[in-house]
Amino acid sequence: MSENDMVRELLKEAVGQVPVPESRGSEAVFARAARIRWRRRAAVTGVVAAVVAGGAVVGSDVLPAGRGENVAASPTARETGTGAGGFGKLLPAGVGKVREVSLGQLIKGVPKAPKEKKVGPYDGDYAVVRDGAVGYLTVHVMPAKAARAKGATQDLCGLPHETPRRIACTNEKVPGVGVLTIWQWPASGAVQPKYSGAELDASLRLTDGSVLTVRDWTGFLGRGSQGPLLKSFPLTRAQLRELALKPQLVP
Amino acid sequence: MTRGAEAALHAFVEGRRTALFRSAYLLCGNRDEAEDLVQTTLVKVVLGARRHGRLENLDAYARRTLVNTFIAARRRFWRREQAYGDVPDAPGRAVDGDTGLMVRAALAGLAPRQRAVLVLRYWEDLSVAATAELLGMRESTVKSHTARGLAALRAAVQEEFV
Repeated sequence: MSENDMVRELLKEAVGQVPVPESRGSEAVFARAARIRWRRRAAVTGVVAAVVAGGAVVGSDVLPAGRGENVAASPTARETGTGAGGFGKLLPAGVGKVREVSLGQLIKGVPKAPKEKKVGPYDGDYAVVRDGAVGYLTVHVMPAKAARAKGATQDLCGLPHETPRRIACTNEKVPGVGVLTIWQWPASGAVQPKYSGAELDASLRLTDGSVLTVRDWTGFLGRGSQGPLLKSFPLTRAQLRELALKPQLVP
Repeated sequence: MTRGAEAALHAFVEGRRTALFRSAYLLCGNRDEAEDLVQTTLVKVVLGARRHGRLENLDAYARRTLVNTFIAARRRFWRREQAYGDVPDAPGRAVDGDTGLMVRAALAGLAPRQRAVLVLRYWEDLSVAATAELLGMRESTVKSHTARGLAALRAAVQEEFV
């Protein structure tokens, strides 16, 4: 027996006693891949260079009458009512300061992240600053065709063998609107961002087939971090539900 | 990606899982970690195949991804591994049931790259050149890692291996 054969035999001994885990099916792999792609897409959504450069900081709590002075720094906000100014008005009072950012630029360090075509009027990433900590809200509307192709229309709570598992995943049928799914993902360590805080996610599958997703994230640490993680989600589960059902978010 | 390519990707994920699990287990020595490693590897393969729109040589791509993911995970300071048991200085004659245990203990005592070299060379049956290319190291380094790895195996299962 050659040396190669002997070593291979030994390795076979080492591995032979271990039962191979039952296959969880390829669905779990593809579901996780889809989720990562979704996160990456969300990270490059809502790149508005002018707003980022101008740093249009708007306190949602100072906008009850829509007169936040800082909105003036963002012509977009003034002219169309979209951007951080307009988005801030949709949030409940006391959420914190809201600033439109690009997670693609922050996390990936891409100097000029590609602009993704906005579908919804408020599609984008928003930093939420509260008590010196920074969380994020991301809004993204996926047209029906893209949603079908990417499997976003399936029952997200029913995906088998996902790791990590969605926590407290609930489906709610909203008459005349669609199905709203809300779940939580735990914090996780990764390479970039180095640490990703827990997040709540809402996915509203509308009757026309399009899908609105809102990510309610306590933030991240590592390169591009804007500050420590929020101690709680930017929006509570009830507030997230309320926001996701606002008709202003969809075209 | 076409439907045919998508189906091929599904078939690859299904078909290669067990083989990848065995390699992963030899690399990390822990069943749960090996399962996670395989899962992470397959996700990366799926993302990569879709991003590049290519399906050639998925096997090699998966192998490279598996090893790199393992080494990267070991590089993180909080995952730096601890030996889980002492290997006896002079083991008695190994009975069949113990051989695997001893080999695993010997592998656990090696540095991640040395372990990767042994697995690629003797389990995946790659040549020195292919192993060096996959791990991004020189052939001479592969040879020295191999020699050290074999020495450790020899010490662990002396009677069977000499």
